[in-house]
Amino acid sequence: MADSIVAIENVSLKYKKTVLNDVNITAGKGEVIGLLGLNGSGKSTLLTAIAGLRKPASGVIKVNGKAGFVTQENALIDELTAIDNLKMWTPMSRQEIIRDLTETELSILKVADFIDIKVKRMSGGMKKRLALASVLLSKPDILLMDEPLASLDIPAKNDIIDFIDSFKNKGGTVFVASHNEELFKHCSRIYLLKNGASILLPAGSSPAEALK
Amino acid sequence: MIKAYCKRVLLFIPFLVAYLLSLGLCMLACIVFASEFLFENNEDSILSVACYVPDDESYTRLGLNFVKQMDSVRHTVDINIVNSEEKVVKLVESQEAVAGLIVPEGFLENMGTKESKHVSIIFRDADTYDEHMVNDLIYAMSDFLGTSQCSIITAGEYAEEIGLDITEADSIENSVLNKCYEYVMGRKSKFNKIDAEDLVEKFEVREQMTASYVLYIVMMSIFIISFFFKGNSEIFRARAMLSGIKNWKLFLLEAGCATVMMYFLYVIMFIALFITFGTLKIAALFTVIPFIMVIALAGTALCYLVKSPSTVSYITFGAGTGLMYLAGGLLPLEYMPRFFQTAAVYNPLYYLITYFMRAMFI
Repeated sequence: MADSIVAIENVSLKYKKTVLNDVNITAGKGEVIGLLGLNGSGKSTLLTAIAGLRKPASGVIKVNGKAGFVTQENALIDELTAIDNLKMWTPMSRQEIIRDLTETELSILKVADFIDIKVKRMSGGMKKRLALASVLLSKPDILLMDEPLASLDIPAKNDIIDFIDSFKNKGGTVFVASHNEELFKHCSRIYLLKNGASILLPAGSSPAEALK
Repeated sequence: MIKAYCKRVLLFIPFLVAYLLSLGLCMLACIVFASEFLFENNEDSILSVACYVPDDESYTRLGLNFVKQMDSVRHTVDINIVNSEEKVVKLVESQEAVAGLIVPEGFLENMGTKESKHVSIIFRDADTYDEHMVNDLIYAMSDFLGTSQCSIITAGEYAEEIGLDITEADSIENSVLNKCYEYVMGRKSKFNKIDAEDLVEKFEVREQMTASYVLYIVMMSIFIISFFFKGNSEIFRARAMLSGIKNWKLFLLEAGCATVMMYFLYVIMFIALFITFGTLKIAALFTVIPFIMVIALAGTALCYLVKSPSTVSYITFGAGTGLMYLAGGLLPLEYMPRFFQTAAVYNPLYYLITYFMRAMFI
């Protein structure tokens, strides 16, 4: 447990009714944890709890590092440009932001290509990349991603998967809630959330099969 | 974050100005031309007299309505009973009426007593009292006299019916007729001549314009607040929280931006009215600030409470527009049915208009 970046111990979460009971998940550096489950199974609720936005009804969530949360709905301001949206959440200057976007692993997201475009003129894929970049500029140790590939085209999906791999390889920890089979191939472990419980899927098992 | 919000405010201002101007022009047109659509001209009438009768003068009103329908009157005089003194003035000034009659409160009740009230006759400045007396008013009064004559005949017939001598009945009839003449001629002394200019100063269209623009600003203000809804959403707040920004700071930032934008709108309106009328109180530029701050805070709080931007829109454009209309913000109350005029008393936006008018002009 000493090496754990995130330790979820006997956690129960309530959202109107109890959605998760006695969940135990740990994640270390360089691990990608996949959360699988039907709609309403508690995936997003668990991510918000890890982010510290929701208190568990019981149990403890220990987070050893800074968490960045990429939500399903973005928190971007439509009438502002990409750079203005990024500057909202960081004290960095335009030059510093562009340097980060082009010279670090963030370059995978290709946000620098549309830095001066207003969000309202962006495609879904561009918005997702921008939302991810805005979270990553604050250099989080843990990345929480809720349905990061939903409604994206194949190149955008590939870019985000590539980024997750890059983040993992640099020692970052990722929690990702998704239904995407391709993404789960990049996960270190996959937990199925079902009937309030978390079940660790055996390595190599099919998420689609598990859901049945 | 503050810079980003300032930028949002700056980006939104051109839209606000364009929207303000377009809607403002529509409202102005509505106010200016409403009478064209709402007033029915009496083609038969030779002259038109605008008449205001207070609510407590129900008998006078009833009597006038009877008189209006009589053949001897309706083919010669169009008695246009209006709901306010200012409307009388407007009709006279716009030459839609040759004269205006304003019956004071307690007129009938005090008639024949020491406290008897005077009916005011309103003329245009260009006309003299004598011209009116000769050309219009006497003509109009003769029709009222005709109404009295009907009563005289009825009185004579009644005298016969109760068995009085026919000569005596004629005598009574003549006596009543003479008294009626005396009364009508005597009534001349009971009329005051008031210079319409004095009243026009008080009841000009500026009030309606002010009311319209002020209410429009209130509506736009809530719209502005809903513009910041994204910032009020749960996701955005969560994002801010994770970035170390406290929720109350975000709230104050949004309310502050809304205040600035609302004040900007107010200043535009103030300048427009100042150019048009030139009699505004400069102090109104400052006294409105706390009021706008309260609206901004309340509106931002509303956005935190409702679930979606569309709900904010429903609330503002549904309830807001309805209340705005009923408060006389889009169309002067005088043009509305009696019921709506009464209902305005219970409308908070009605008092808001009054507040602004007092703050800016009086």
